[in-house]
Amino acid sequence: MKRLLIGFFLAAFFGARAAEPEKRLLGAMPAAEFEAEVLQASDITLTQAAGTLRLNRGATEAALTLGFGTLAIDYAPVAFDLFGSARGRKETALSAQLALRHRAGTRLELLGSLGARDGFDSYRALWLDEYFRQRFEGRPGYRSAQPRGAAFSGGARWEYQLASGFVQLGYARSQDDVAPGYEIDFTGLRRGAETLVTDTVTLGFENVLTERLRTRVELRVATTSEREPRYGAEISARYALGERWIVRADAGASDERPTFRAQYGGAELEFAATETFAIFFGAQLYRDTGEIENALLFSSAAPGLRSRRADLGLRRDGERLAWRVSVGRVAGDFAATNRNTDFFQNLYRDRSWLALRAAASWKF
Amino acid sequence: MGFLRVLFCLGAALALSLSLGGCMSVSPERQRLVSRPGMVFSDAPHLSNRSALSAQIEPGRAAGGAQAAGCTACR
Repeated sequence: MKRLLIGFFLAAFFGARAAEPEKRLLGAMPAAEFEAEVLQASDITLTQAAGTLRLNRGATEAALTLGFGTLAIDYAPVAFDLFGSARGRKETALSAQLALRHRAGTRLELLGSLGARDGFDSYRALWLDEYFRQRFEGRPGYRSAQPRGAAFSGGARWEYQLASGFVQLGYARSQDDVAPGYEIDFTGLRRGAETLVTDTVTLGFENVLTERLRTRVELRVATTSEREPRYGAEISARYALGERWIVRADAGASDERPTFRAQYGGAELEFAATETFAIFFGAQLYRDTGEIENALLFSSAAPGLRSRRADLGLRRDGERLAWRVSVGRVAGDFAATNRNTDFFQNLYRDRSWLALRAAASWKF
Repeated sequence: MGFLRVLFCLGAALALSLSLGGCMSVSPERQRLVSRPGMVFSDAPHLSNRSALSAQIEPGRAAGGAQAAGCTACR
């Protein structure tokens, strides 16, 4: 990750002086994007980096993205877990995506994407996999997890009001091979769901309501194997207080029967220090009711969570090179586990996360 | 009730957004302020504050699938 960040800053430094005419690749106008992110707590480190090459040829734009992520945990069993032992574990995840955007008319765009991932998608899945591995490895019925996933999406964006009203409809399907959970009883080891299929439909509206206000509303419904539909909604607003000041605000909610609910929101204040440099400060709040418990004996479902986040960042908007860096803190407070989830007290303990993010876009 | 509450709030926001958008069309030449980089909704990573990792620590932000809350590995 250090090399990626050094590469990012070198590219930013040397790229800033370029002022040559635009180049073409395969007859298309190319652009490159790069993004790196780190979340670090005392016992968990997560990183994610992705690079995108965009080729714009007339009415069609193609974007190829390659991603690389790492998950490192210091697994620690609870004191009364007689079968567990502390162990550090690190996993990597690779991903690739091809996205297409085609202008089918003066006001209509068609969208599509295809992607795949190989590796764990969350530190929690990795923690639970280690818990089950220590407990059940070697027993008939246990299999080493090989999480991976694939997804495709399609949609359309219609500019129903010139430059000020857009509606976007999208559909996505993903299939994830997950690290399964296990239960043991008199009949032996029973494995939980190994493959999850998710269908998601989104409907979004973007509007310029006044000379200073731009808004976006998105409604979402997702159905995942063996679960109730999850409904989600987000509203975002961007308001120009003046020539130099901008406020960005977002709020959202998710709901899944029987008991899962989440709400989140935040605001960011931006000050344009010069023509190209802007500094911003943001704060966000999040809370949920905890996951759905469906276990008879014990469960790995997370208890309720409340978190607070604050970020400080800098952005440069150059003609060819643009970048953004930010640093932040996230404080997550879980509700207490109960007797069904006490084995995961160390997974669901309060954590303070350091959040770093760097992103850049470069037009050749 | 949770879903109905979410639907009601977003429906109200949507109706407000659409009705205001319909009543007050802002022509492109009057969009100088809302077209600045910090004012647009964009997939470009330097213009977005979306975090690829945040759904891991705040699972309600995930749309669905394996990363969303709800016992993907739970028993």
